[in-house]
Amino acid sequence: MNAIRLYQVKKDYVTLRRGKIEALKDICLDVDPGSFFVLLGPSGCGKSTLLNIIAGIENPTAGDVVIGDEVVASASQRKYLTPRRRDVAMVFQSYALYPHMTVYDNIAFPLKIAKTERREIGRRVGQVSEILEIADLLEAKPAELSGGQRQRVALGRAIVRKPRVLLLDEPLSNLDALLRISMRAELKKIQRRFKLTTVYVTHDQHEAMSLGDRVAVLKDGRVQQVGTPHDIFSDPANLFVAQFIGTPPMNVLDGRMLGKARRQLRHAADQQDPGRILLGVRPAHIRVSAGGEGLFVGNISLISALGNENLLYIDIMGQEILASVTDAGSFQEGQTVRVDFDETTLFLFRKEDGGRIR
Amino acid sequence: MREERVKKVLKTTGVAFLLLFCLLPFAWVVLVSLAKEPDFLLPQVAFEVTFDNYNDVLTTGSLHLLDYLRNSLVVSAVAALAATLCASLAAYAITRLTFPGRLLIPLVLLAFSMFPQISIVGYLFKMMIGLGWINTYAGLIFPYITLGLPLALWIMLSSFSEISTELDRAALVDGATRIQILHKIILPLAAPGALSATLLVFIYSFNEFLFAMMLTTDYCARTIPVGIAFFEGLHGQIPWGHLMAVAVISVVPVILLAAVFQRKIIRGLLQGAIKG
Repeated sequence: MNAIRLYQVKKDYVTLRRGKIEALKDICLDVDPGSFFVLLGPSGCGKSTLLNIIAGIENPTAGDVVIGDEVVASASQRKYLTPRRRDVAMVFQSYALYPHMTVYDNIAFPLKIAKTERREIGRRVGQVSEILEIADLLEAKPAELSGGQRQRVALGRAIVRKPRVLLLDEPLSNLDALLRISMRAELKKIQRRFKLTTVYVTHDQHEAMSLGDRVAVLKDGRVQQVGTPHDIFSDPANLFVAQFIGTPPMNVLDGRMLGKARRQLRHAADQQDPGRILLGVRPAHIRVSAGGEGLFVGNISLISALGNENLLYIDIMGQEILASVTDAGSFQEGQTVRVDFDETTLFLFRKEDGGRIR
Repeated sequence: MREERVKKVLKTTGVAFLLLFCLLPFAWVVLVSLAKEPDFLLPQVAFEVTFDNYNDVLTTGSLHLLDYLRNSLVVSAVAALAATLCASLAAYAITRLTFPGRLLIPLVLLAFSMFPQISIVGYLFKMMIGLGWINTYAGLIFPYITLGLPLALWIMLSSFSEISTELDRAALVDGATRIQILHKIILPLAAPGALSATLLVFIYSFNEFLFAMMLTTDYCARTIPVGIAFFEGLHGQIPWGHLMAVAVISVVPVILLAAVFQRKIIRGLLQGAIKG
């Protein structure tokens, strides 16, 4: 089992049209051996670049990459091991199966390249195809397979040579929603079974939360927060993380904090300019009632039923907030309601940089 | 209904005209090569079919026809394979790696290919004398590789750029070297393009006349187009029957290649133009 350490990794691209682009800025990450680590972020945040740097497909502009106890890339020493020497495996979003080879040859490819003995290749391909339930497809070409089957073949090709590290670049995003959920569980089981140190790149928070032992949230080439899925959800480091994680997304209210509220809230917000505070509250933490007590009065502008929950879009003095309630029977669109929330469920952020006020 | 018919008639006449236009001279060649009195099939001379012309040119060793044919096949095949190999290496680098000026190379090559051949033939002749390569296979193969390279490169570029670079990344991570990737992944996938590049350079070299004329002196390296041009015949006068028989024989390899591979050539050339 091998840990991965990234130390102050930077990546700049120089283009003719746009000049220098800093894709990654000072990334420091530790991936525990045998753990499932997720890089989560919106598109263009640099997460795939980071994965390519771990794989050795791209070289960092600065910083070190360590796998196990071996430095595999170091910009200061100008040392960049080839992907071959790093012994990492990768699964791509497009699966990147070799179209002219059968499933067997696709899975066997890394072993053949490593000049493994033929009998051993046969044995290991057989074993992997049993685990992934593709043993009856070994003679097929990739074009004859469904998306889910291709995904399995790509995974098979990655794990067949028992790599030190498994890298996954949005491997499930080309699958339909149902298949995605079942493959997610399967992926996790396989990772557990082989105790593979895994780095998984996704823009889908559900995948990140359900798969990751730890999750790093990236934005604009910078790590915003690293932690367990629970940490990231319940204790976001900043406004970006708070809004990016959780569906429906957190409500963020722009407002002024008056003296009375400041006394009521236990948060030490005294140093802040009262007018420059953002208040975040998750839709599930909002209490909506037809009458009685409540901080705000608002109008229900839309009710959207999702089956297990109902989303109420409530207009409060021009700001729309989203509330999630289990029972929408007592509400109707256009109704005036009282809105309230517990101060313990609130998050406060600085307006100027989105930093969390604790 | 009427419109359909008119269209059909127009189409058929058009195709018939084109075929006639292209094939009539060739039919004439075939006819003359088979005629006993081949003096342009004068109407007053009765047409008699004979294979004597073919028999003469194929069996008379002093005419060296088979030598010319062999020279042509060897020179063209080697040049075509070498040009395609060079072109695939270059195309891999240009489509896969980043280095300054990589987009300039194909353009410069294209510009060079627009030079009239005659403008370099003088210097080429001097160079080949210096190298001692006059009247050798090498003396023809290298210029032919140069001539065929731009064509081969452009075909290979278009077929390589069709192939997703994610495959390269996958193979890199799977431990393959760049050469292994080219050999095991990219070339098999670009086979139609590589085949059409090879065949087109082959046909080009097979038909090439000017360099072959300047750089060869006798049957040791002379190719068939020059052989036909310098054909002296057995009896002093212009031997039309023999000439035409040689011409027909020399066309056979190219026709065979085209017939066998025409689908693939077309597929290779359309890569990049049409998806799938």
